[in-house]
Amino acid sequence: MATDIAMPSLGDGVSEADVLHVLVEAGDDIAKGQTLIEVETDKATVEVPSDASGNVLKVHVKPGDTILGGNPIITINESSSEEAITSRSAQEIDNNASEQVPIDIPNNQMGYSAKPPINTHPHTTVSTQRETPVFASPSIRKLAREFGIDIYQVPGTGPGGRISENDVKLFSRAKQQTGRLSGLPSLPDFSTWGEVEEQPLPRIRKTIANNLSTSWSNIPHVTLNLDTDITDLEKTRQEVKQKFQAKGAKLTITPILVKALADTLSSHPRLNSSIDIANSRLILKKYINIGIATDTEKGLIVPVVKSAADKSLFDICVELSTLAAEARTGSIGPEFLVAGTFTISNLGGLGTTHFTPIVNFPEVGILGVGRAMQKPEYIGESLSPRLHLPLSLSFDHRAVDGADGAKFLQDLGDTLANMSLHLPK
Amino acid sequence: MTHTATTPSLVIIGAGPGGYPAAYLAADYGMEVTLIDKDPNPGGVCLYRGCIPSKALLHVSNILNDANSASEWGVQFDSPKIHLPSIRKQKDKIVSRLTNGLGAMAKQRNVTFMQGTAKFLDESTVRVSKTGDEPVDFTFDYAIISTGSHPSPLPGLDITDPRIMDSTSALELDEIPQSLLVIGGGYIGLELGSVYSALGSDVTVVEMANRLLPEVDPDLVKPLQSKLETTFTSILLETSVEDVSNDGDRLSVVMRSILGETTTDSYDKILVAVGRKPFSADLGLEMTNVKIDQNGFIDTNAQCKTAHNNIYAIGDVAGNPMLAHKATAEARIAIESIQGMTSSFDPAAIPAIVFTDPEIAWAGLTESQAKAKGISVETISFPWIASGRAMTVGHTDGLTKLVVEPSTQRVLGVGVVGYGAGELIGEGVLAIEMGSRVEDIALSIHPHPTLSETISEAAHLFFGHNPHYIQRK
Repeated sequence: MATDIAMPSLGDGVSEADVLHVLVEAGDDIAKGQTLIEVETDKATVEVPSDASGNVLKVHVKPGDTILGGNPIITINESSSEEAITSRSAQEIDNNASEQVPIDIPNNQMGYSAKPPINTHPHTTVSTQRETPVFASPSIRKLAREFGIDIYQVPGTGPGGRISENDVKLFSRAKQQTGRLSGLPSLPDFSTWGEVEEQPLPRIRKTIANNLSTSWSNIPHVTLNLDTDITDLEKTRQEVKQKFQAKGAKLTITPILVKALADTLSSHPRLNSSIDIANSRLILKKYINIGIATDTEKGLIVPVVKSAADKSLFDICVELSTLAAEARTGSIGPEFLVAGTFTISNLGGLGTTHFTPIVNFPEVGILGVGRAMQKPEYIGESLSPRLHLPLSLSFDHRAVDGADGAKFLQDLGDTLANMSLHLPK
Repeated sequence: MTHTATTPSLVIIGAGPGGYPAAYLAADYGMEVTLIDKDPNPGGVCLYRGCIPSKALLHVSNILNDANSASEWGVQFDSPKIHLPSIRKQKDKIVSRLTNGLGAMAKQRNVTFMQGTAKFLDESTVRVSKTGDEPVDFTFDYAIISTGSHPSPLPGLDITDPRIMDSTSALELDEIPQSLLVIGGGYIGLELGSVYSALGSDVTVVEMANRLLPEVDPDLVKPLQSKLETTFTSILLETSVEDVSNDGDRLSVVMRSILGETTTDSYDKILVAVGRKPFSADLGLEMTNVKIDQNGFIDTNAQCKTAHNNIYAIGDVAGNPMLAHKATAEARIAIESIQGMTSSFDPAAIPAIVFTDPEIAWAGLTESQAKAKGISVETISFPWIASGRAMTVGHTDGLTKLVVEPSTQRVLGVGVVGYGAGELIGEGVLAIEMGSRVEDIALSIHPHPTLSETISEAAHLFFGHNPHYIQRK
């Protein structure tokens, strides 16, 4: 009988999710517990399992869709034990059986299209049962044993989900990497020395931890520091702040940084790229989307100002206020948390000076901003108080050479220093 | 006798198709190997009183059947003259040639072969006894138990009479009885029943289940059953043997049907073929911590290791299916495990063959097993009535069947009934082990005109098109 399998509630204030991958197709036989789709919420990426077994009649979602709790994901023909066997014996076929499994003999076209296409998605054949043998040849099973891995856990990428030698090797490598993370030395019992409190890690904390580990373990970081003189900029900002305020926008240093950064990136495309080592290529992005690392109650999230180079400072101001407010209340849509090309982390409000930000993978650069400070500076022969803003640029040294990074930071500093000339007065 | 400390020593008890390959492989790895068996040479039940002699006799019955059906082809033979001593001699010649060859092979590999029976004295000593000789004790680093199995007696049958045969004595072929009752409709009963039937006996088969070969899919048994219904005198299903008594020249047998009706009939000879039992008693296993289950099988893990770290068990004594090729495969796993390799017994398919006319062969998952386990499968069958090759050899009573996993379209099982089915099943095993999808088989060009084509014909039929057969809907 036909049954819909619906998106379960994601709970905890999460009402919708973006569909990242669809792992089943019409015609597939699915088992209870098998992953149907992967979705991304603003908190995490979640696999949605099937709560029934059967044959997929229709798939209602596609990658990119936004799905709400209760929306149908697929419709299946739910299997009962009587229907488990679909015999098509040439001699004993009956009418009912042939209706259940239509095998049209095409009149003018032959070949194998008479059967529904089978699923070749790499993630589909993690075996859930061991009653049927694993989909791998004996030599591949032997290889898995030699690597010390359970072949039933290896996802197959071959036709129909067959497990290849490469699948086993990739799985083994991935396992070793996870092993390194989980293979940290065990912690001592801290309660031996005094009272402790244990808090379970929320999903967002685990996501942050994973993302930062990915960045830190894969990206060779270099951090360059620079102080830029924003005395004039700050003076002008104070002057025009009221005008912005009157139109409902708050002109802080952050939107100015976004604008200056976007403009500088336009002439330094390498800093607005991603490096794809596996395919030996650098991917240069023709759009500049600036992420702003934002501290919220639940943890760090990064709202993104899209096409920042094409927007006016005023528009950026307005957008940033909205994004920051939504980020802090947790109501921000997931579409505003993706597609960043460069990130700003401004710790100035907390009194920090220079620091070493970690690049937000797969971007290649991040700008750390500290607290602006008055410093005495010689102008000609005389000392005068000047306002200096500490900038720290961390970049992926695989994609960007030190000299290129230094030139970029210098240009950014100059752009900021001269920003006052461009503020609407 | 003690072994030298430098090379690890291995004692293997039982030199059948598990024991002797284990011995030879271990010797090639440089181990000091002692191979023990009751028979004068390696070979075991398979070569001395199982697979090989029965196949030699089935060849004779095939010759007789072919000669008998030759008239359809315009060739008329006179009634055959059967010379039993010559048949026995030919069969024995094959057996001794093979077993002598294995004995010579043992010498060439420096495997010490000892004739006798072995018993564990403790977890590192085995005593070998041979009538008329002083027992010899061996200490070992490793031991492999490959003692095989023996025919089960009929429960409740308390008379001993030379006219009541088991498979071993039936293969001796002392005489051709006028009438023969085969108790048990499994593969041994049907194979030997076929031999005696072809040689002229009136054969009756009695089976407690509701069909012959209960472990085989019914559609594969059907052509064989139809054939046997014409060659055997009768096939009594859902019937059990209540009593056997001496009735002078003959044996009187009381049988009871499932409905409770009893009938009494008499036969010249009886063949008891109600299965085989593992050979695990009288081995002194109680002196070790080797465990055996309630059916007498030795408990082993995927490395063929018993509960004792240095004692392994392979073949029939280590569990079903009791088939020679399973024992041989386990022999390799056991020796490789001893060598410290990461080997594991994890076959996707162990083929089985019934060497009747027609033959039945299957590998991997059967449709019945899928049904019993609730595994969703699709099956496709190609009838040999549509095979040109089957017609030209006069054997259209066949069927080639694929059991397919719907989600991946990979082949999980293959079943064949028909002339030479046993020679076709190897392709099925390879397909299953390699994870072949039905399309892989369809796209692999099979030679024409052969019976192997029926496998690709079935694969094509799976996709709805076959030039030689239109599926009835």
